[in-house]
Amino acid sequence: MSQNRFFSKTQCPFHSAAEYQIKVLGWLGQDWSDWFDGLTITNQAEVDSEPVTVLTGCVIDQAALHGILRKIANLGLPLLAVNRLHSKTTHAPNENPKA
Amino acid sequence: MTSPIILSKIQPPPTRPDLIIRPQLLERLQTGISRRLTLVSAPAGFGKTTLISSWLDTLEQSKASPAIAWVSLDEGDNAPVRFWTYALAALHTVQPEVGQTAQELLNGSELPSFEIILTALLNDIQARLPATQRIVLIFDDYHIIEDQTIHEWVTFLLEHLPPQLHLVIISRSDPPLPIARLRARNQLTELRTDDLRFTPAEAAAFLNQAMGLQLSAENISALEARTEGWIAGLQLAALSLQGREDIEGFIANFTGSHQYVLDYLVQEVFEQQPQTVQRFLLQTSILDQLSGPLCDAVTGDHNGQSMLEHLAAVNLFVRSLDDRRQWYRYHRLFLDLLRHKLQQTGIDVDELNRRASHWYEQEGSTDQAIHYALAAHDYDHAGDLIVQNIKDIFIQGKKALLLTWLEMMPPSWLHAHPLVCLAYAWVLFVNGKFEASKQRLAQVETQLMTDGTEGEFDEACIPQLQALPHSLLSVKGLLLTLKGQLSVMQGETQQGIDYLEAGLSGMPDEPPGLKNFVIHQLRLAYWINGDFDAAENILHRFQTEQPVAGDTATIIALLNQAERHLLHGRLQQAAVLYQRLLQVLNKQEREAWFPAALAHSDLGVIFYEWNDLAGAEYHARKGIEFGNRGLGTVRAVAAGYFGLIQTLRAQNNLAEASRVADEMDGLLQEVDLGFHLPISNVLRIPLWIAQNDLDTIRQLLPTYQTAALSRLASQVSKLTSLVAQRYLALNEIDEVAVIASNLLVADDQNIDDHVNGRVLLALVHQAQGDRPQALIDLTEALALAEPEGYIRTFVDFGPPMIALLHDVLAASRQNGADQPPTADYIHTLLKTAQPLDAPPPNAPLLSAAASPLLEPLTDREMDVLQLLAKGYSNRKIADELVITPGTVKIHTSHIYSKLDVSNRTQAVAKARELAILLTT
Repeated sequence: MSQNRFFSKTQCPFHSAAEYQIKVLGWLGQDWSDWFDGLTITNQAEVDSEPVTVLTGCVIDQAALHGILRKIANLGLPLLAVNRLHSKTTHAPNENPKA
Repeated sequence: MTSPIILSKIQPPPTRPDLIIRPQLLERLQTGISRRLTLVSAPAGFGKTTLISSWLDTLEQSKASPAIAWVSLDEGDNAPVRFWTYALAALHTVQPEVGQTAQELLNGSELPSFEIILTALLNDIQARLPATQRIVLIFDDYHIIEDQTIHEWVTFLLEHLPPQLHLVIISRSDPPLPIARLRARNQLTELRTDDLRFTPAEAAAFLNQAMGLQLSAENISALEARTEGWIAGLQLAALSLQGREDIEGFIANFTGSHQYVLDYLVQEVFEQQPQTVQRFLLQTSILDQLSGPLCDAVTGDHNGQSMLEHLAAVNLFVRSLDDRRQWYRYHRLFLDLLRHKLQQTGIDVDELNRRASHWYEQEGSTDQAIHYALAAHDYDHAGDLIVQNIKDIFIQGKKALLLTWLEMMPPSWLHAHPLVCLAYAWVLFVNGKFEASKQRLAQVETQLMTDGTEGEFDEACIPQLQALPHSLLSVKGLLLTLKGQLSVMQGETQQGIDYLEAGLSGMPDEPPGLKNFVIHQLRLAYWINGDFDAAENILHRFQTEQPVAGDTATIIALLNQAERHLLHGRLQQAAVLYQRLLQVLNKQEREAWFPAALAHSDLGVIFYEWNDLAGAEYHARKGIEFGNRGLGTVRAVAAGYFGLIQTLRAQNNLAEASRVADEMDGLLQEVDLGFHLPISNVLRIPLWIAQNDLDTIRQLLPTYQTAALSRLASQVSKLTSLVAQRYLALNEIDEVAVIASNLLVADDQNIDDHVNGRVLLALVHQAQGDRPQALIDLTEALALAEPEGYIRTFVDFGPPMIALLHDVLAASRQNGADQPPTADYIHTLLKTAQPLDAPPPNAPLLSAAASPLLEPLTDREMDVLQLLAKGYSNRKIADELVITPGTVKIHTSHIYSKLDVSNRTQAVAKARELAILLTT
């Protein structure tokens, strides 16, 4: 349990770039992409037909992620979900089956 | 000394005449005054500020109105001094005498701890205001505050709030304050999103009366449903409906659209505006605050004032900040939408920012001028402004702001300005960013030294030098001091000492503050290096070279002696001196100064050794708390954790001990001291042994050597003994023997080394089957240890030690000798060393977990309660605890509220009933 604490910061997943997917309630136009650090913007209707905007793209670190979340809060956009898809430096376990 | 107060920040924002009155919310606010805190927490656009200012309007009309102190916070308030300066200024508008002492303390040349400042404020309120008077202190936009110390001291304020004061916090997110605790104690009134959204009736009143529309009930409910009662949304919808003919069509489109409410409506409203207004909105959206002249400077037009008045009158994005129509600002919610639009227009945004910067510079507002110059990417100009004003920046304590600015400056500029870089390194260091500071420093050095020859500065730097603050004048001295401290922090102690000595020799006597600081650092470095004579010597050198105020000299001398006694295992003398040191500090009201942290932490270690676990926990926690607040106290923090983790383990509270060890790791990492992590893992060894987790112990990285580096933690022999426990657990007896003999070859004056060494040797001999030799070793250790009252060093080894102790006892009975070790002493040890499943003999009488109180009493409140139980008067308690009677009153009122009683007799009775009084 405790061995991890000796790992350097660079090995820690929280300090490296990763692909994130952020969902907010209500549709936003594509033109908002620049405002949100170049994240791709797609509009989708969810199962219960709520209009949802999905922001997807690479976020360089936790500070950048919090910056984006702050912009969402500043616009009053209701936040639905934040997902980390996979990190940029390592493969997700399911992409890397055991040899 | 300090920057002027911006009055509009401490004035409640004016309300609009067409306001919707919300009686049920006003009533909740009104009844909330009797509780400690009102929290208005909801996203932007729910009318939080408007609600509170309309409440203030009704208060003004009522007779027994509480007085109002208002603070509108902004990003710049993330500096504790500025935050409290504004809070005090706001209170000052209510009662000119209130907070005067606190203000003087804040403005003084040497900033005391905030505990002292805030206690002065609370005493003032208690003493000067009649018990029936109420002041409501309001912090608007509290979500902007990110500075952890500010949160801590707001928490302190909340916990010690006198009945005269009520706090209102308006925030877009829940603040990191003890909200749950206040809620549980019914001391909190909350107004949240669901309370604030417009009801259908309010929406109707707003649309048809305030905004002058004539909408059908059906249309109103459609709008209300689409916006979910969000006031900003309803307001924008109303704006785009005003003057529109096809109302049905608009509402059908709007409610049918999936587009984000605000994006949709802002677009609608924006497009309805004439070209001139659209242009004005976009160009001025770069500004955080708006005034007519500033807008004119940015737009190049002359209609700023009339435009702002118009926008405010039609309630279009803008709100007024004062009664005089001078300053306005965009409603936060629309600001990003406007700025996003501006980004897409192709307008030269840099040029707009440059104009704003120029205007502010003319006005003498340097911070703003720098802010906009950076926004304009005009780094040369921003840099010039920083260099010109760096003295004031330092004097006004805007170090966090300076950091933000310098982080934005490009490397080429920094390269050309090595002295600013030195200031940069200094600020980084002060903020605990040691690694970054070190990198900067290396850069400065290569820039400053011509062709690498040591100590020579480039002549070209001299003009820059003039601009630097006084304390930075000795560039070389400062550079060396910083290098020295960084080396010490990172374990290269000898190197650090060399740098510090060199730095000290080049340091001018004026200002004395810096020189004293270096002297202490140097002393600490010698101490860490084990060169105690040199550490003492530096004090003599310092006293003869430069006489300082007697108090400081006394404190440092006491500290030095006490540390030395402790290091040699003279626990009794060390404890006496540390306690005297704490008294001296108390008298000088410097309870939280770094020597106090060291004294508490080391007392924690001593009390642990004496098996006074309650005392050990108290002092260790204090040491950690105070050590966390200042620089140069890594040793205090580490020693505090040493005492605390050991104590918790001795109380058999392994979960909490392990949580505390994690906390220590986090703390060390936070301040870039991760290289000290082996200490906390050494401290974990007994935890793993207790959990029988031998695998982890086996894999454990730190060795004796890494632990030895951690003289910072406390007594080396104690840590070493923990490492030895690891080997014992793994049955690696040879390793234990090596450690024992290392301890024994050291300085033979050192009781601590010898006690620990002999104990280990006894265990080694016992393991090797040489019982007679084991008894000889142990008897020797006991004889040395008895006069100093050692207990835990023996009993922490558990069953093998118990067996040996029984044998020594039997042998001493036969000998009948009455010199140490005495039978009484061995009995005490055996009594303490009971098996773990029995309750520890000296369990603390009051621990947070065991307390039947909803909120446990603080240590200080316990002190007061003890004296109350003895029948002392407030005056006498104040004398005894060296605090003011006003502070005693604050404590007693908290004791009453926590015990749910109303006077001292009841308090003492209740305390007896709950068995929380310490038996003396």
